[in-house]
Amino acid sequence: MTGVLAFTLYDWHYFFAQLVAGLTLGSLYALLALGYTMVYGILKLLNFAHGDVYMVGAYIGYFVLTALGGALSPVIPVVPLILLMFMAAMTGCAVLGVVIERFAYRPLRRAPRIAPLISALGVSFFIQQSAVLLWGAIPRSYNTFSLHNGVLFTYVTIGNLRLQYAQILVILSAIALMASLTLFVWRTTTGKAMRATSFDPEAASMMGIDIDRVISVTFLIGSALAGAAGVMTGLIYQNVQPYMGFGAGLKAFTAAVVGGIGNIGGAMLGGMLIGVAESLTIGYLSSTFQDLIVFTVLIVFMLFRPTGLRGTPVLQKV
Amino acid sequence: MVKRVGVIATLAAALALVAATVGSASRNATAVSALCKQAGLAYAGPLSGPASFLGIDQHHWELLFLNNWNAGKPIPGVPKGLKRVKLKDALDGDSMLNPQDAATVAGQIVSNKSILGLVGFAGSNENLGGGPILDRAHVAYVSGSATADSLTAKLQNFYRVVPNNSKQANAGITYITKELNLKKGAKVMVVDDGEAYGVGIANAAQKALQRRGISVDRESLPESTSSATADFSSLAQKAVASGAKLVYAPSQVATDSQLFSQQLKTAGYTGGFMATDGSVSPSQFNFPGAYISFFGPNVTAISKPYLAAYTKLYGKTAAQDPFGAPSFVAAEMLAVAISQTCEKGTTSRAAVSNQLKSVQLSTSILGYSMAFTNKADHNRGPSSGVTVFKIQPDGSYKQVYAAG
Repeated sequence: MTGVLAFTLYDWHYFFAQLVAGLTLGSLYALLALGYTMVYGILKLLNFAHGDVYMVGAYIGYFVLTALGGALSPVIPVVPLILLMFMAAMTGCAVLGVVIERFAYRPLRRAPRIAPLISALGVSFFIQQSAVLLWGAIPRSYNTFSLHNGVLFTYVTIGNLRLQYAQILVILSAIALMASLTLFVWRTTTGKAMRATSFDPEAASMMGIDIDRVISVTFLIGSALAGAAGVMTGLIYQNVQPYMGFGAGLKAFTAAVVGGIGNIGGAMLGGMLIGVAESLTIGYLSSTFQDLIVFTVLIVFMLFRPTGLRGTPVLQKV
Repeated sequence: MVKRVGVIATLAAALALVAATVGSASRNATAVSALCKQAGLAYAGPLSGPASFLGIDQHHWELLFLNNWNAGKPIPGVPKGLKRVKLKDALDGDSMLNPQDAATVAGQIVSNKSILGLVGFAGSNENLGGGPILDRAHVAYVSGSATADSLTAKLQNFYRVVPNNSKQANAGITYITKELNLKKGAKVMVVDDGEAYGVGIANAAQKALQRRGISVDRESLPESTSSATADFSSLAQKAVASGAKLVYAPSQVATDSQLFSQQLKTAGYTGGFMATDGSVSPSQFNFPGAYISFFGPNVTAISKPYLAAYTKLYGKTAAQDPFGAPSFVAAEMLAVAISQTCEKGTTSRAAVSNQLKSVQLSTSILGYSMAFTNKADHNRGPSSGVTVFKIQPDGSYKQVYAAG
């Protein structure tokens, strides 16, 4: 009833504003979901530490921003500053991802599936608590509302659409990164090796594919994308704190499942869907129902389309 | 002969009884004296975790009190002629705003017999977790920041030197409706943080607004420490579209209040924004034009010598945060109660808790008197203390209202 009333009360400007807010949030979920989906596609492992890699990325971006004068008095122009933040966070997280895989997952490759799952949970807590010890638990703010008099939050109007530069930056960066990943997976030799490993690791190995290298590359790319998502979160939502990875990881995992876990396009779609669902729920129903709607979507998909939007059923050979 | 023996036996029995009584009284007096000699206070609150700034600040104010008390320096409100019992800082419990951790800390306090009172717990949930354990051991605990209404009704030895949520919400709404000229039919968005703290104070504010005929859009968004990401942009758009004249948003995370007010501004919102005591942190929530209700005075109202001493010991940034100062008064109430029981020779944990009901400070470093006499708070809270700040263009907090 509230929703119906809201539709009659609010205009299209309002709808598009909520849609853009949802797509912005969804872009972050989608980038994170890619990491879950890639690792699951190849290792059939739920990498619970992925959300914490995203948190580390957000902190790296914060430290680069602070080292270069902070939002109030940056020593270099905005564009190179943001590029540097992205590069540092993506590089740092890529290295972290590879290290996690090498020391926490690779030794358990042939162990029962529960072992790497528990290891993933352990790594998640290890990273989270290390962040608390190293950087403290008090949230830190990018304070980008002050960056060059809030240039990131000024609006561009296109018809009924009103977008902030920060929203454009997040949505376009996410789309560009996802497109690059798709091209990489479909057009390069390493991408082909990743697909082959995902399809049948043993057969891929027999064909001469270095499985360890493929898995390392998968973690490297997924973690770099998480680092980018961390910086985007700081740029648009300001606050970073050691516990931010858990909730974000949960939503991104939901997005990956809704999109069809193991499917790159599905992760993008799932992320956007979850983001928009959250935003429209707040806008037209009530923020109280935000998580209820998201997880209802997940349950509905599990019941009626367990393979997700883009997933394909697994054939069992007998 | 038999009669004589009977008299002697009776006399001997009477003498034995007197000796036993005197001995017992003497032993009691010795025990009380020993208790008073080694008496200590504990502090419990978040000394680590996202709210550690709050706990550390409160603990520092408690330590400042103990330094001054033990050194015999004049302290506002201490009854004249009171013989001060020296108190040690017996335990610093890190309960991390978590009820389970609070229960663990409560166990440590109970087992340390020198502890006659606790300054804390800081948070309402912590009190619900650790309070029943302290109640069973008759330990009095005086909080400088736990504001949930139900605490004084649920817990036997809980006291607070700050007004409860209802009082804060009512005072805040009284001020802001007048300030923003909110009349019957005006629209207000009330957003809680999904936590016991935010929901409680938001409920009280909603009732206060609805009593005035003001239309309330009630929302709930989990605080950033327990959600994927703090994003208030959709709510900000909704506030603009609904024509809300005020957004009232209690939150325990100051950076969330800062983000919400910034996102409201960028969405084109021109109404008022009011946060509550959980967001009081001038270094983290400093959005110009925002209002914030609080359970104590601004630092500028705190007794100057004490503020100077605090600044010297713990730095300027910490001293700008008004959150911790009530814990000084919480420690003072306990110290006076302990000293009074020692004077009477009745010291025990239960006696200290009982004595707190009679302690009256004619003034305090907060600038007002303190006694646990507020009937609306089960006689275990004060009758004054709510203030409202308006954040100035330079980010500082200016006190614009003080409830009577």
